[in-house]
Amino acid sequence: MRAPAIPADDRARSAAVGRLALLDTPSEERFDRITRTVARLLDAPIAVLNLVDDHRQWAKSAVGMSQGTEFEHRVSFCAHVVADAGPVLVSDTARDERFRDNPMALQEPGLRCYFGVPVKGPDGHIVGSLCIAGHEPRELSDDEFAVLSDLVGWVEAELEHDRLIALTEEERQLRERLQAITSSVGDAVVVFDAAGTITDVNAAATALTGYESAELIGNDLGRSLPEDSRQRLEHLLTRGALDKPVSEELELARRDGDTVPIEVTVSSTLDGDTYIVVARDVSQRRRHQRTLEKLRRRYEVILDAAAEAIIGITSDGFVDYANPAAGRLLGTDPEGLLGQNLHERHHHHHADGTPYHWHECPTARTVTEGVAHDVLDEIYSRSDGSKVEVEYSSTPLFDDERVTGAVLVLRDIGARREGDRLKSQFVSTVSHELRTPLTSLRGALSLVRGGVVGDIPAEALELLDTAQSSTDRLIRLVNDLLDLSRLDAGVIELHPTATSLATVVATAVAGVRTAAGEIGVEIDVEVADVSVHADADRLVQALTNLLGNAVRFSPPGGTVTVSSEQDAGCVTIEVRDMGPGVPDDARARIFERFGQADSSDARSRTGTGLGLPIARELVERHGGRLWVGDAPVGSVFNLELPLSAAPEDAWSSDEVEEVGR
Amino acid sequence: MTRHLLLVDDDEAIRSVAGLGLERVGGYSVDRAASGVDALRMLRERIPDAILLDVMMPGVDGPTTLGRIRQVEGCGHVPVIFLTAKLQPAEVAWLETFDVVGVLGKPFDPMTLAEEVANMLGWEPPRGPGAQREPSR
Repeated sequence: MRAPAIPADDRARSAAVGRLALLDTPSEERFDRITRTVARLLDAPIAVLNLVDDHRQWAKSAVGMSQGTEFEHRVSFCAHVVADAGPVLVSDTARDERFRDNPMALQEPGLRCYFGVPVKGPDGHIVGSLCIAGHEPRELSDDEFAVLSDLVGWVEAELEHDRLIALTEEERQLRERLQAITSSVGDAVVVFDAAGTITDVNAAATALTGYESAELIGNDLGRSLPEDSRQRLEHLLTRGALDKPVSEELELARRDGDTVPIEVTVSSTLDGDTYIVVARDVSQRRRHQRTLEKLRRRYEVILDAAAEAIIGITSDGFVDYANPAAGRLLGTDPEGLLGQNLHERHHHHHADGTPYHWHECPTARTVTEGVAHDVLDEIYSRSDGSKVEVEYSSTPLFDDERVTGAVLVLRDIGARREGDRLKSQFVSTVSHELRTPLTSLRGALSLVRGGVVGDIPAEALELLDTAQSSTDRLIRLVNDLLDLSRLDAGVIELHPTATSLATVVATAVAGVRTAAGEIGVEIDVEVADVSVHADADRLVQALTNLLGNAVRFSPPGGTVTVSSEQDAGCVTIEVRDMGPGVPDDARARIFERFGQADSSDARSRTGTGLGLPIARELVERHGGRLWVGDAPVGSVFNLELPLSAAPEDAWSSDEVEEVGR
Repeated sequence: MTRHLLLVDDDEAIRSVAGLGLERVGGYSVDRAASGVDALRMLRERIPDAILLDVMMPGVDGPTTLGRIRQVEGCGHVPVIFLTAKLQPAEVAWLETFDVVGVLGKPFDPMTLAEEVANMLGWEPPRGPGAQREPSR
């Protein structure tokens, strides 16, 4: 016996058999009618329509055998038909090598002859065979073979019919699904035929137009569209098949009389018979667009009018926005800046002429770390190579936590600097000019008061004292103003050296000793002799101002205490008096120019109102701090200074051990 | 013998006040010059025991005048004191690099000016006709 061969495409073929959905189903009259006809016409005791999958043959319909009988593939006659893809005609199984010892021939059902013709499914695969068989050898004439073949055509027609029914069902489901989709989309969908008549609309279309679907279907869109829009839509609908969807903005006249802007997208079927128009109400979008446009124009005006240069850069430093002021600042067109690498073009050098690398630039940190920076004084280069002194801020731009760039706001401070310088120079000149006549005024008063030019009546002495102390105050005021203007202009240079704190304090105390003596104020000094990194003269000046205040505000017979406290890396000098103290609300003000706590106090009037601002400025120039502390009685001023950087001064031997441990 | 001083300052009021203090309080005799050129002319007539020289003067300033004074015969070693309104430490230090015995700052007190000058020059304390610190009440 020879087992049937397995066709190369048997997996796909077997699947096609499965798709027929006939295996293991009950008998059907439409197939039984065929097998009955075959048996009668060809006078055969057995006629079977067998389906053959990859492991068996199964009788969908049979005469002379039970419907549903199956045989395994190995012994299947019909599997040979499938394998050969052609008729298998066996007049006598006993004389055929392939079937002589086939169990179906030797045992049940005892076949001696077999004639099978392949049956193709709707997709062209051979799905089985229609066959007749008998228990005696016989021949099959050409006419008889033709009958068998014709009846195979009938079977195939039945199978095709199944497929058509299945297709129709599929189409119905598809259509339902499509309708479900179109009715659920928010956009209005209107289907037109080639004549421009509406054939279908979805729920959104009735909502958009205000017309019922019955009012729309069968009509054109004429009454829903103003003339201009109607013409434009008609133009689209009569162009024949569209190779891609076309969009257009139109006006729609709703049934309630409102006109709304709509955006339509028109597509057509390949043959141009059906047009699908998807429309959406864009009035909200229009409103947003108008608002956006209005905002955009407003910001544009603001940016254009801004005196500050405003520059947007990408995260890799290229300019993507520049306002007109930016062009003026950098000596170029704002358009000329676009696309430029700002740092490389305009920020490449420090003020001292050394190269300025991008990675050192605060703006680089802004775009890498997303942190804003304010820079008080740097140099930008203009297009002609000249320098411009600017202060600027760089602010990161975020998109979803990711830095996408930065906005730089730059201000030319050259003019302001020049103004400051001129102002300082003016104050300085005025002060000098004031000092000379004051010197002679003070001198003349002193000589007269000293009796150099003759005896002075007692009443005149008092007046002279007043004139003299007023002159003194005027001189102090001029000196302080001169100092401040120098500090502002930056012409006071500190010359810090390792300086003995005790010596500085002693010098300052000596300077106010006379004034203290006059009103009976004691000055107690208990200061550690540490070394500080300071300009001795300037530190004496700052301390003198503090001590002068302390003495002036002390009650007669009071005590001013100067002490020091050492901390890690710094030393704090404390100047304490027993005066009225500093009111809480004046703590900040007293460090401002002419910001005395109580200007009605006669003692305030003897000061210049500049002592504390000068002292603070000087202390801060030393990298220190000056502030008012808390005191139950009187006031306490704290002056903190960094200790000298020299190692032997900075560390006591104990501390060195501790560090080494 | 009365000590003789030359006071050089372009400001008349200063000349008057400082001169009066030196004369009446210090008991010195004082010649007054209004400019460096004036001073050099006066030096050719009389050589003083010391010179008080203003630093900031229009035309020939104090340091330049000092250089020229040293060229005048007999004036090579006359002690000179600078008078200055600038009291910045750096400026004082710079002025002290010149051939002077000291730098006196303005404003000064004419009642004690003579004493300060005497101190700088190493002279005995002045005892002029009007030399008195405190007036009698």
